[in-house]
Amino acid sequence: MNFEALQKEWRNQESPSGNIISKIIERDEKLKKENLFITILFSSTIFILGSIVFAFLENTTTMLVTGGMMFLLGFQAFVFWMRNLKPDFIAEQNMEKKIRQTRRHLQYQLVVTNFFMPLYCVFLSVLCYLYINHLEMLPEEWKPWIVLVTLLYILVMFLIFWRKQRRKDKDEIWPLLEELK
Amino acid sequence: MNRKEQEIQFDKILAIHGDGIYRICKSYLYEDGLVQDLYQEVLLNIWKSIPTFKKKSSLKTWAFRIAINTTISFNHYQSRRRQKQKDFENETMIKEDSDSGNMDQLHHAIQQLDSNDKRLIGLFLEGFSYKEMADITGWTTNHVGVKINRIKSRLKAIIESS
Repeated sequence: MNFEALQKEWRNQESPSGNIISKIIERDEKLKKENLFITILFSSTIFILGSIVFAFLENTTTMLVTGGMMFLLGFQAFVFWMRNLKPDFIAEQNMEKKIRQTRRHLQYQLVVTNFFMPLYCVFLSVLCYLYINHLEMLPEEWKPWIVLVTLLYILVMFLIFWRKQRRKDKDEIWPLLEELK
Repeated sequence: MNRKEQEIQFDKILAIHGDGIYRICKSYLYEDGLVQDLYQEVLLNIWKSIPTFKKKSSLKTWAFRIAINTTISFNHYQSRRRQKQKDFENETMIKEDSDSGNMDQLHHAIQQLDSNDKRLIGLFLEGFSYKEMADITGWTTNHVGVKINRIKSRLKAIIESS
């Protein structure tokens, strides 16, 4: 088998032609807009949660719970920003480093599904419970029902997202991790 | 760097290394649709990285490093399921002719290698020196040499057995 001849033949293969540059620029613009939207969403969520706690509540537990949530959301926003707005990482790393970083990122995604998501759910439930109980404008006899409905809503939403995420992990994340071993 | 300069630089990379980058994508994935998705992803990463190009390595090494690194994080499992971006494929790309017999055989054989070997043989077929490959992979030159020899023997065995 002659590898030199194969190399020559290999290099005869051409890339598809067409107006690629305008499509790439268009996609880049679209991604920038999506990044901006998600960053604004994260920041405003953190800001709103912070405002609720510090403007209306004086309860230490609630402050701690919201502080924890804000920290987790902030951390996620930071990871998201690092991954999407720092393209020079991909240009400066060698393959070994990139593999290690990608493995870490995939493992982090698994941690988000199995640890952070349930934790968010617990935090959110505690926060809602404390907040609803604290509201003086609500009649006392309504409060247990409002708490119950809110917690049920959070639980159902959590289960829907969690199941979807678990399926994604099984179909995409684990095979990719396996490939990077 | 302003937008115009970025476009000029991108055009230059595409003209000189576009075919090579496409072949790297092709060595990593076999299905045409996935190869084009990956190619688009690589070009997007190159486009985004142009303003941060520090000229520590040659433009060729830099562009192919991005291509190799993109294959690592490219989620082809998701891509396979995702609705293909038909407009990109249909409107802007004229598909090339199907592979010749030898190339088809080679592509099939490469697909049976593990991911890192696929990336390495892609660079080898592109004519990269061991030193350049070492720079892109982060391995030593000797290690690259040993790996290439093993991959060549493996490819030979696969092709002969088929």
